[in-house]
Amino acid sequence: MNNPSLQELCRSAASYAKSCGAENCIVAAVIYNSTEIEVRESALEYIERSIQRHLDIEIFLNGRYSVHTITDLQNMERHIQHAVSITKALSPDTDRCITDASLFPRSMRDNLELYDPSVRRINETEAITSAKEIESFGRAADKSVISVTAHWNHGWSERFTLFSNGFEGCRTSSFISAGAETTVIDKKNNTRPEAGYSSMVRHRHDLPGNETAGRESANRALIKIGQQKTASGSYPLVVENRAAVRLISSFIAALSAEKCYHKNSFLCGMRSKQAASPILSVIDDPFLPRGLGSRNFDSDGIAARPRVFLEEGIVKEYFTSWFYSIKTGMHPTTGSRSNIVVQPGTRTPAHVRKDLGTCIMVTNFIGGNTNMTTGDFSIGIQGQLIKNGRMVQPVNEMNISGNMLELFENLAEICNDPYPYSTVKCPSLVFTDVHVSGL
Amino acid sequence: MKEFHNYAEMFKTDIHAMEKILSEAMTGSATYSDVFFQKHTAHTISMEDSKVSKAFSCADTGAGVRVVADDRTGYSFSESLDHKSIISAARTARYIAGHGASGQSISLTSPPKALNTYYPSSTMWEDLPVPSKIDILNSLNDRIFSSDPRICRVRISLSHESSYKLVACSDSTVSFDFQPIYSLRVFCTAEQHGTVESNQYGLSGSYGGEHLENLNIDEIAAEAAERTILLFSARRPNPGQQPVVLDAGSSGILLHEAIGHGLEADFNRKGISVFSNRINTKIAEPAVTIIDDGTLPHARGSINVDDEGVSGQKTALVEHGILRSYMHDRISAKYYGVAPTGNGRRESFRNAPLPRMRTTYMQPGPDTREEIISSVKNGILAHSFTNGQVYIGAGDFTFFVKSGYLIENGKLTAPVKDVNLIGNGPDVLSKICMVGNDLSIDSGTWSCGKQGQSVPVSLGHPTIKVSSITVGSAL
Repeated sequence: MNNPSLQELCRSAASYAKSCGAENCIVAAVIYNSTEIEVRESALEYIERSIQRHLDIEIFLNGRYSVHTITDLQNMERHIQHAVSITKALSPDTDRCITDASLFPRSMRDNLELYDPSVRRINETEAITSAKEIESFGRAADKSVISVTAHWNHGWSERFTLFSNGFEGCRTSSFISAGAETTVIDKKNNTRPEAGYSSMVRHRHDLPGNETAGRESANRALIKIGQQKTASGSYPLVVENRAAVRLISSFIAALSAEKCYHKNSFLCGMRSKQAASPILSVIDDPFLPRGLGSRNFDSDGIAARPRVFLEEGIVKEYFTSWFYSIKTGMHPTTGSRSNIVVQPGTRTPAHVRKDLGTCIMVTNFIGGNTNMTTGDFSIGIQGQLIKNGRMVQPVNEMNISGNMLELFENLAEICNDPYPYSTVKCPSLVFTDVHVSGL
Repeated sequence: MKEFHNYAEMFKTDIHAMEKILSEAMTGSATYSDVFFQKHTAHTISMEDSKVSKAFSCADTGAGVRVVADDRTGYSFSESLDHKSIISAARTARYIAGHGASGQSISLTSPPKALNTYYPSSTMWEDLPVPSKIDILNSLNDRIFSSDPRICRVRISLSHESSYKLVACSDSTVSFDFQPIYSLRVFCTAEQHGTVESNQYGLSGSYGGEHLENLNIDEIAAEAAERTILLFSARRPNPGQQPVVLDAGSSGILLHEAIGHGLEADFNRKGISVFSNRINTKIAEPAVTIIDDGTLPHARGSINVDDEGVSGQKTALVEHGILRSYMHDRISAKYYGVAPTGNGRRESFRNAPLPRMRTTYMQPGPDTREEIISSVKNGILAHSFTNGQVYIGAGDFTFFVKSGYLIENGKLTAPVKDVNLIGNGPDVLSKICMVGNDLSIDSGTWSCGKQGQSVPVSLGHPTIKVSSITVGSAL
């Protein structure tokens, strides 16, 4: 799909920027339309409708570079004049230049299935009805449930991008997100544990049912009743798939040419070296049908293609934008992730837990941080203490700490349940010898 | 701009037009509505490799209309200031109120009254020539590199925002405000014998462009470099429960996470906060008095008026350990039958306001910092922090300590780094056993996220001692 008005807007903006003195520019025009709904206690609590339209323009001018977002399109020319004048005042860095045209796509895939036309036809009544069902299933789950807020958000966007050195591309996509936040009463501890369940998809029929969303949200809160700290020590850790997304994201974030250039990566200088357990292979796949991160080109205009970043634990590539390819001398790959795919294993988390004796299953992380320079991390956890495959105690107020390189060296198993509702398709991960601080 | 007509001209509106928008919104079961106009500009220049070769700007204008029916909200916005577009947004927002009686006629107070200002400014940041800002970054960069040969990478950014807003409410009030905010962020990396460490330092406040001359470049450079170099000698403390002393200033993150979010009234109205139904009950030791304040001069979290037209003010949340007030927006205030506290804030005209913190701090107590440190046999002193998070209902919170010191036999010994502190809000409040006399409001670049909206906040703290908290660290 190609929106002629967005194309015209981009061409007009680029032409004007060049007439003001820009050497080159990248212009993107975006329309974004969404409806957001919340239901609580069987009633509509919040509804928001929005239509957004803006222009992003990147200006290159003799080694100077600037990025500008303009929503006041009626005064677009005045804003572009201002943008160019700011750019002229900067100091030059000859590495700042527009992407070499040889890296642009020569053809576009039209089978990414990013747009479901039926999403555009969803009306408020349908959305509210679905949210009410989700809320109702959540509240009915148990008498300990004291509050359920169900949410529904759907919309679509169109983005047209123009590179002044000879490339134009467009992207139309849709999304639906639905789920709930549930709070339960824990009378013994005098607390109100909460949990959520949410799924985001491109196509309407890929959403889990309303019953699944409501019950899953409630069940995830109910299993927290009675949570408490357990003894500090070294435990095997089963990190549930949705939580594992955070760990794998922190690890992959260090595979960045930008971070390496700034000496701010614990994976700096590791190309072709073993950085993680041999069972870990990670691919960035921009061509996953219906993928939340799927695309034909990235923000530099670099043609997308699947790339192996980690193969059997060995670093094969770094995320390298056009600018940092010049700075570091690495070949440009892409500066940003599309869909991260962690190659799954064969066993279910339940099967794996049975073999671990005593372990902790992490269902949520809370706060904490990873030092990207050293890899040291300390992160709060919630979850379950497991003995011989059975949940014996919900745990909270605990931390895991260590170093990312050691943690991923101790990655013992990857389960077969990749989390579907994220740009990071990561299964549950099993680590050995993780230090947990509690009592 | 100090006069209403300047704002009306900027937003292409007048009293009559705003009355029409609000009247259009007030249909069916609507009990309240407001229209929020905003013009927001943001500029950043960035330095890396000792060159300021990158800039960013954003120019954003629009108006949002909110319709409230009891405690339910309808919201829509327009990125155009065209009156018809805003009327259309009002018609969308009133969906929440159902199809009932036709619009109520709204009359607005004219002219609107002037407000106090907690962030007077004389110079627009936009009026400063870009080279004068580049000069500051060059000076800072030079000083950092010359302060220690181990510094190998420096990145610096200077950002400033200007936000003009005009709010008209169905209770007849109209208010307007201009707020400038600047942020200076420094990211340093240093290398020593093959070991690399990085740290960051930032300053922010609600100041106009005249503040550029007041920035103490030598002090900023020294702080940024020292914070980084210190990490070479830092180690990770023993994990587990232990006494923790929180240094004055940015330790206010404890309040923000452990109690602040739990006292935002929307969570209590819904019954999902650990502090629900606890007004006028004891939630902390008598030494603990906690304030949320929108009136501190030039603080990043100060507001002359909130984003639903309520004047900025100072709210005592906890007095001598007794919970006295939640932080209210208009919806929760009506629900609880109290006056709104000026905490209704939003990220932009694209968002409906929510109860949010401003500057949250603890009142000073009787103890000196030295007395507090010397009272700890084995524990840590937490000095600088990065992020935090809380689960409102369970009260579990964390905040991340970037740097601090071990305390051994009442003395500060080795530096420590990269530990996550985790605890339970009510539990930790009950374990605050010493409160220092050295309250300090931190001038860092703090922002708070909630339901997808980010707003600038400030925080402050005297030195305090928590008798026991879980320290996450590797053995």
